[in-house]
Amino acid sequence: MKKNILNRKGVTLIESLVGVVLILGSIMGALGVLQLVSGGQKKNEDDLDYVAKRNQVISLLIDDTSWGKMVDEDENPEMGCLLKQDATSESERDCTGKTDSLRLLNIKGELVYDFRSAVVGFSRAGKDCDTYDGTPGGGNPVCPYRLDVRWEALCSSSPCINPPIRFRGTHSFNSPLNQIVPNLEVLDFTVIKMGMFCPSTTVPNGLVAGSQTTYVAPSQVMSDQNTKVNTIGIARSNQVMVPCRRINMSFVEDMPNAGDVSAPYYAIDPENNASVAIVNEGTNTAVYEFVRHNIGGVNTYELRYNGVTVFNKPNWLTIDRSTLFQFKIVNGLVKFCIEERCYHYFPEKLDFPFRFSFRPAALPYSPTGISGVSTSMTDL
Amino acid sequence: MTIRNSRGSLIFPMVIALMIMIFSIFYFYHNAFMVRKVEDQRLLSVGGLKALVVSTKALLNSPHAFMTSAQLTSNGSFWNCLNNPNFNCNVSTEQDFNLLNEDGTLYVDMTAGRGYTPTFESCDSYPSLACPFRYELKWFRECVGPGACYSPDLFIRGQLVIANIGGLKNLINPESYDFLVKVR
Repeated sequence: MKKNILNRKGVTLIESLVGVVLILGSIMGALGVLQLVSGGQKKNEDDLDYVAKRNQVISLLIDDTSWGKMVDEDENPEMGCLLKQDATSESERDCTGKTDSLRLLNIKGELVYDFRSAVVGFSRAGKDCDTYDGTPGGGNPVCPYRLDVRWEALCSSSPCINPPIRFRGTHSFNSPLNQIVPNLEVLDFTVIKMGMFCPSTTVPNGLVAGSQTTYVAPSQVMSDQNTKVNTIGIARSNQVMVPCRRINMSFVEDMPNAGDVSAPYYAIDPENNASVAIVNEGTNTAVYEFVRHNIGGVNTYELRYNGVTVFNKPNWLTIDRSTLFQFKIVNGLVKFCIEERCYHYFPEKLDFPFRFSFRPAALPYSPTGISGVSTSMTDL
Repeated sequence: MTIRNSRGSLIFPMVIALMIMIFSIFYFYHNAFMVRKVEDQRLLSVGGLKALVVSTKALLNSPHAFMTSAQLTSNGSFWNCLNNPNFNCNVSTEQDFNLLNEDGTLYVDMTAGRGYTPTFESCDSYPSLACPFRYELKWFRECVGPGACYSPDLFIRGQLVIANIGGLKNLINPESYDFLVKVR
């Protein structure tokens, strides 16, 4: 019979040693695994807190109210062009190349983060701190994260007026300790916002007399023929407007039907033409223009952009002296509408302060001229 | 034959029990870790999605971006339906709407396969684990009367599509990111 070295319970010394080694090994292994999982979870919790922080910043950026506060704040001076969208000088409205780090405010106008400060950062747990050190090879282990948020005017060409705003959030991490560095690129973000700020203006509530030579370019002035003179003249809105909101202007025009005028007056006379235009307040030129005239005894219209005809009335549509015409402007997009239906969208963006000008047909073609002028404005 | 420790040893059963315990603890922690990781991923995607939808609406509201997009040939009859009152907008099904950024580059690209990574970088392998999100813009018209469809009501619909891969569909409600804009 083979003799073994057994303890009192019948376990060999070698088996005991193997058992102890297995237990120790398991404990060591478990501790390692737990440390790994715990470390990963800690990093994950950091990421989670930090992602929540990032999402909070995004929410503030896309809030129109807080953005308005930021533009109004003197300490964001690069945003001056946004404040001056009501300036008649194009260079003052031009935001070409404007970009800067942001002082982020909440809807109450309170400073939330000053991304223009080089020391503002976050701890690993996502707590705010103001001891970030971006020195290469340096860093602060208790304030290792940084988020830089910049805004920029987003335009494809110059001048860049009433532009969309692009926000870019870029994360960085700098710590002298051998800490687990998160994948920061996945936290970076880009947000585009449009129509977030518009200088306040007064809604026009009437018309003022205008002069032909001042408010309509000579090439757009109707010539007087056969001693038939335009006796009504030109009127314009009594307030200057800016296009960065929603503006509806409606009117009716007293156009003569066949037989309404008799010799020596004829419906096809140029004096029977009427026009309503969006006039650049800075240059005093009619840019978007509705011209009603008469061809072959039929009232029709054309739309002009900078004096060039771009649309004509569709044949199936009839207009008369009770037809409601409208210019509708939405953040610079100009539409021409009839009876609340918009048939023509001008491809060119309206990007200047403007008034509406009204140039009725002469007497006796149009006894009541242009009437029912009504303008409304709402923020986007 | 019975499988037992004929010498009455408790060492090996104890080792096995200990290992089961250790692996149970590991499993528990691992699960908790994965739950947090998934939540982390969800939050990251939610932030990116919010930014994408806000940006898309902003570009639709930008006269330059919208009007240049409207004229793209890849958007079919949209421009004629919008801006040519003599055009019979005879388009009965939803059509793709490609949206340009302000600088003229495509922002929402309806080309098949185009999509977004979980962190909302552009990618071109949708649907896949690396490219699980796609944001689709479609336009459609509603005629305003019988007969020819002149100057119809026009709509643009934004819709998040999530690939049925990797469980993302269970984490994010795509309908929260849909929108409908009446262009006319």
